[in-house]
Amino acid sequence: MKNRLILLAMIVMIAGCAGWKAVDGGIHSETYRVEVPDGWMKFDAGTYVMISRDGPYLQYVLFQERPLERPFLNARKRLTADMLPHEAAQIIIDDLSSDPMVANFTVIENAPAVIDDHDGFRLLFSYDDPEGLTLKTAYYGFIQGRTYYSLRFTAPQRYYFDNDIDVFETMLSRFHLVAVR
Amino acid sequence: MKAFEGLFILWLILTCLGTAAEADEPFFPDPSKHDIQALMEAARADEKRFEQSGALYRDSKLEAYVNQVAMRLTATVPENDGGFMVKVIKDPHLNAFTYPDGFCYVNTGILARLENEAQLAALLAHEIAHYLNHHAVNGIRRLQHQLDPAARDLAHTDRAPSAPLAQSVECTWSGYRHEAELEADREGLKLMIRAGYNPYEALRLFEHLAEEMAREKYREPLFFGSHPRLQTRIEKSSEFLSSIDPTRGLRSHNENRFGFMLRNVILDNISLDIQAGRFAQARQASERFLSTYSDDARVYYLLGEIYRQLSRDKDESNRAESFYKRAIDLDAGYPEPHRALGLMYYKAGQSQKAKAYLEASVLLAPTAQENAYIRNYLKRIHLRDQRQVKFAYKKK
Repeated sequence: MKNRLILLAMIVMIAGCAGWKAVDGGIHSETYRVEVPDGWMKFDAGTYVMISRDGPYLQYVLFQERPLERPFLNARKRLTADMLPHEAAQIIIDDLSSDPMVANFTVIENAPAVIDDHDGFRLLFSYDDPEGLTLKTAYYGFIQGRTYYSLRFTAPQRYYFDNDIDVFETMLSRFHLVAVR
Repeated sequence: MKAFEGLFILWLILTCLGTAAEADEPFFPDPSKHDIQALMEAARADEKRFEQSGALYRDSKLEAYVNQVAMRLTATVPENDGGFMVKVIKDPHLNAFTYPDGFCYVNTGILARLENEAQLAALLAHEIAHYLNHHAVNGIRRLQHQLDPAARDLAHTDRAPSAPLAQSVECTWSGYRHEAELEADREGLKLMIRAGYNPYEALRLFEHLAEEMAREKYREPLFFGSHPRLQTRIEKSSEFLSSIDPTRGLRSHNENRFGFMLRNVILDNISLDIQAGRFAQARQASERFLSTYSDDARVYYLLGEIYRQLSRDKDESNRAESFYKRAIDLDAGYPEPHRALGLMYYKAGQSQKAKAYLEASVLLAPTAQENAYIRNYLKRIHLRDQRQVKFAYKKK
């Protein structure tokens, strides 16, 4: 999963469409804004924004907006506007479990969560990437209007995850939707 | 880096497919010892990855049974070295492949589709034929012959593993050359006959694969290669079968033992199909399972899950509800259908019905991860009830 994102990022960068830039105070998209501490770099791919302080192999945070009608690649399922948080969480779990690039996928925690006053869910899971590195992700998701929003923090399970999870949780508390699609 | 390696291998496959030698087999020099050794090492590295990936389906009785069928087939071959070993992978797609060192991996998807032991024997006999006929090693030999002389020299030095090696390992799971597949079909049928299995069941295996290919459209089952070739292979196998005495060596299909051994893997594979959104396959497998085991609560719960997740109309929601209820009737201590029914009622705004089922599910599975949601929903029902009581009191 991580490798695909990095490869995609590389391709886009090579094509000269975008690059890593310093996050200047925060991220301000058309639909949300989030405060980010100094020292983080961002890569804006349009459909998602990835930020990292030490490079995406060591930690990254991904903010993603996804139209509900777009089916997931691995699980071939769609989210719908009337889904309850546990149903949306199950689709995310199903998609990750069906990803052939993800090994030893383990859900550590699956619980309801409130993100910027929106009912959503929090997943905590670990998995091995194709190189055998164990990564851990804290994943928040919610549906608003016709869009699914996800915010996730991924880092190697050993040392790096614990090192920055609090920074991510602080970012999450400073995430606000400013418009609904 | 892996992506570039993949592109290189793909290029090599496409290049070699275009120049593959046909008709009479010419003499090809033996691959270097280094390449064979590297081929085995690459196979072992892949096998180690499987062991560590969590992808293996752990059921020692099933594994023992499948290997017994394999042994019955290999026992008929004098040159059998006992190296063929079968493992099962948690994957709903129809596939099986064998590494050159004899480790064969069979997906739960293809196992769950089989109807009797003879079909399982057909699947394994095909893979055994690849192994015993050294198709992976022959792949290196043929590819070295096709490379230009400079590259061939390089392939015989004791330096880095050659490009043919990379392709030969890839062949184990992406399908061998057409001729090798035909040979494996023919030799597999002979193995089945010698072991006393009905070889006509191999044609049924082809039918399962053809059906899957038609349903999936874009996703080819790797086990039997591409669609036009599948048709050729059905014809060639039928031709071979018509040339033998149909009554020769036929025995029973061992359907009872087969059904008993595969009961759990069929249900687990239905779960994998649902997880991957392969609802048509999940429904077909559930209905087939029901025709044999009509009192198994688990299959009713899975049918409930299929219809709840589809929920394209009211009828499908009603079906989901009735399947969950049937599962509870059969096993009152089964937490999942209680939870599913409670959540369905909660979503539909039927709070009191939801409350009863959700509370029961928490009691039946107090440590389930989903309980965090359930407690949250129960709290909301409670608050709503309180508001209604207050409103009614004020009205009075």
